[in-house]
Amino acid sequence: MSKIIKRLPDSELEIMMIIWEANRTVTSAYVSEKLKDKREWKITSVLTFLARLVEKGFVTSTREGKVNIYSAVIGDQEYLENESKSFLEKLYSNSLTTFVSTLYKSNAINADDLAELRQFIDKATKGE
Amino acid sequence: MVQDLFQNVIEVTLTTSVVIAALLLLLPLIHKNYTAKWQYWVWLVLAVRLLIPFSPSLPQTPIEITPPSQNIEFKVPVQNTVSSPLPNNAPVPQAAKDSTAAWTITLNGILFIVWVLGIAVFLLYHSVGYFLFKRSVLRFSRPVEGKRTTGLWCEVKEEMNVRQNIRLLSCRKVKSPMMTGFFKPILLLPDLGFSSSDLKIILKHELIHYKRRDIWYKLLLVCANAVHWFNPLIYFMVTMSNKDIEMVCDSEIIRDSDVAFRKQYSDTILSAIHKGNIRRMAFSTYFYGGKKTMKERFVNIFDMNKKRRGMVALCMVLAAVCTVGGLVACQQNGVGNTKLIDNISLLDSGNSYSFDGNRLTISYHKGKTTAEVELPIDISVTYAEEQTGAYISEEKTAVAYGGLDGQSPVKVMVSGDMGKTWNTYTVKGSDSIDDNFIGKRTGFISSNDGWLVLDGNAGAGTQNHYIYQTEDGGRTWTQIGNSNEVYAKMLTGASFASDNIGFLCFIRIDDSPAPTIYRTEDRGQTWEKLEISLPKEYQSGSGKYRADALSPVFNGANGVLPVIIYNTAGSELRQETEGRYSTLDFGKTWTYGTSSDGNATHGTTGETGSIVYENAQYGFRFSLLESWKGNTIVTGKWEGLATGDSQGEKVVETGPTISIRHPRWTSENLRQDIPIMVSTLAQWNSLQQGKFHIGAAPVDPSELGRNSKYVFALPARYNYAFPTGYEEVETILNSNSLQPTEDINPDNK
Repeated sequence: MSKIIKRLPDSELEIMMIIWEANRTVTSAYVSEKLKDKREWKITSVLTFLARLVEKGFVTSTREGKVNIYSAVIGDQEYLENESKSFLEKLYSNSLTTFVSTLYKSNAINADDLAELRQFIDKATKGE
Repeated sequence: MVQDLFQNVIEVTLTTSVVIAALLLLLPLIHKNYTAKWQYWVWLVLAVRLLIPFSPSLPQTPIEITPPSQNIEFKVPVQNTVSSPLPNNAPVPQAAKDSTAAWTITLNGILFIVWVLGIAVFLLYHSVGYFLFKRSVLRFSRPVEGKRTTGLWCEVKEEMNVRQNIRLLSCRKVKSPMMTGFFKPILLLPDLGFSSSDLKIILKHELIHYKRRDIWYKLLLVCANAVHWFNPLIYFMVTMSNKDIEMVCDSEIIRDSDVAFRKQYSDTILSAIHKGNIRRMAFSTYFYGGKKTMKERFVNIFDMNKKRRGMVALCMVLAAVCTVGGLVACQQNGVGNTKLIDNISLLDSGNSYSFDGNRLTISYHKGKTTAEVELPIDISVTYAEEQTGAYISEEKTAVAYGGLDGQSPVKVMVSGDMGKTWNTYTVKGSDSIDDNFIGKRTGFISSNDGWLVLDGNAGAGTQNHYIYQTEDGGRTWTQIGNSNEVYAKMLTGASFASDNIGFLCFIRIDDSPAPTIYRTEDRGQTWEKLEISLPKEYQSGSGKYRADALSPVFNGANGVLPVIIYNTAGSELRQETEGRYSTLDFGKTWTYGTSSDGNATHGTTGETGSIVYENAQYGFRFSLLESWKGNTIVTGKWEGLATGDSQGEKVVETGPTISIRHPRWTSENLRQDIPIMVSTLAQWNSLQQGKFHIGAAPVDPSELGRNSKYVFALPARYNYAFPTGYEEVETILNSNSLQPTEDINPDNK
């Protein structure tokens, strides 16, 4: 569980996110189609990135007829949880930057707390 | 002065802390009666106040806080390279330099650096954190594409009247919806599949943050925290303010709505937390305090009581913040407190004062700036000038007055801004002294360190004096020792060169023509009479001339003593001239004459002093410092040993030595002599040729001068033991003090 997954560069992560979002096997054509509006990558670049992802073990590719079919080996949740961190990121670990307004302070309320808060709201609204 | 900035920040931190602490104590009461918005504004006011590094000053301060003293000085003695213990034959520098200089590193300076570094670290921490957060989050983000969400987004924006382009991103990495970005706002949504109604409320919540410019509010508080990073109360305040930001946002959403909507809003938040928790990373840290904050928010949400907006109370806090700084004045105020005042330059600065009745006009720099102030003194008792003592410099102006009736205390009016504003302080304890203070003298060494000498009633030629010192710019005065037991005559001048070293200059009463000056090195515990003689040109004329000393002035160890020299011969008209002595050693020794720039020209030829030892037997004169008055002469013999004879060295040459011995030399307390070795020219030549040597020293004596018959030399390693006063002897020797003459007594061979 605590296996650390090597951090992906932005470009490769972009492709991984497309694969995760698709939630099925994809072709290189599908990936470049999705990238069309965001990045001006040539199909060769996309293929290179996919090859790298295969090499790194994030994706497997199988040949079906003329096209390569790619499927994710590492899930998005798994990656998010185990992505390796730079030294600085480790330093800051889970602390949230000051300069955001959040709806609530994440990682500060556990299931028990939640139940208690639920009760509180129920009690507060019972009378009405 | 940049360091004053830090001083002011300390003051601001202390005074604002008083307000913050008061607010924290009143918090339960505030919660009950005022909206969250009220607190939100209070924090804002406090943060702005914390960022303004000065306080309004009121003329009178009822409360005084003494911040810990930062006036500790570390004196680092630096040995001057000029003072080599073995002077050689090379020409020695004309002007002697003082052998030790002092670097002064103040604790204040160190604290200032630490403070600035702290700010840098604090700001760096927060900006790096922000940068890292944005980078790591944005790479997992993509624009929201779903029709349902974008439709809702447009709808909410329309409803809230927000026109600016705000990027709405969906992000896998975040768990709570959030708003960030200073110039290009970004709304981040976790992809948690919110229901349409929840989404609408969430978007609304975040847009309220945007509309209220909460990120800028946070920035302001972080900046205030950065400047006051050393104050724990500010961290507390920032935490409180962050909570209040959310509370205000909650209140905005549920304003004028019924319980049903409030419940819906609360449910939305709870469901967002719930959904976020499912995604919670296994290893992410659990922050403490989330439940408590959340509960407070829900209490706020369901609080249907009409609360006051508290405009009056807000104004009161505002007023408190503004005035507390003025009311609770800290002692360290104004200009650089450790900086010495150049009192020497004041001699010729053209600062003066005059009285018109009890109205005092102070003129700075020959009248370029003037200040007027009325003194509460009774001029019918005696002239205003006689009742008061004034000190005028750019850094500090002080007027001492009062205490004439033997009941009321002496007061000191002090101004740090050339007479624009004044504070009056009482010299505590001066009213309990059974004397009338007919004369006052005051002065300042730095803006904080000052002295005050009060003259008691004069009777039968004696007069007592009472000496006070201040370390806080004149606010409080403490009595130190005085010379009343040792010498109690009328004063002509007084001064302090440092906290410990002070002078009392008395009117000349005894037969000595020189001014009578007593000096202390221990805050007036013990006093020693200074040996000062009249300048040479006034010594002749069978004691016709006398001199009275005025107050000496100092800038560090350097000082100038103005004196009035006058004739006493009965029939002649009294003529006065002003002369100046100077010192380089805190007034231990004084030399007549000053150079044009006001600094002493110590030890140059002819001015070393009026004390000259003349030797007519061998033909030389030796100029000594004033302090050597009363010296003794010790004669001895030197022996030259034949060179090259390893066993039983034979004495081949002998000659006399003449040692000038300091008057304070005792057998228990040895002091450095000035040894002069006299040799004939023939002896000197054979010594130079190495025909004999003196003592075990491999180094030959060094020549000080010669006449037609003799060579005068300084034995090598004469000061090998470095007894007391060896530096002084070096200084004397380095200033061409020996002058050969041809005045050789024929009796001598």
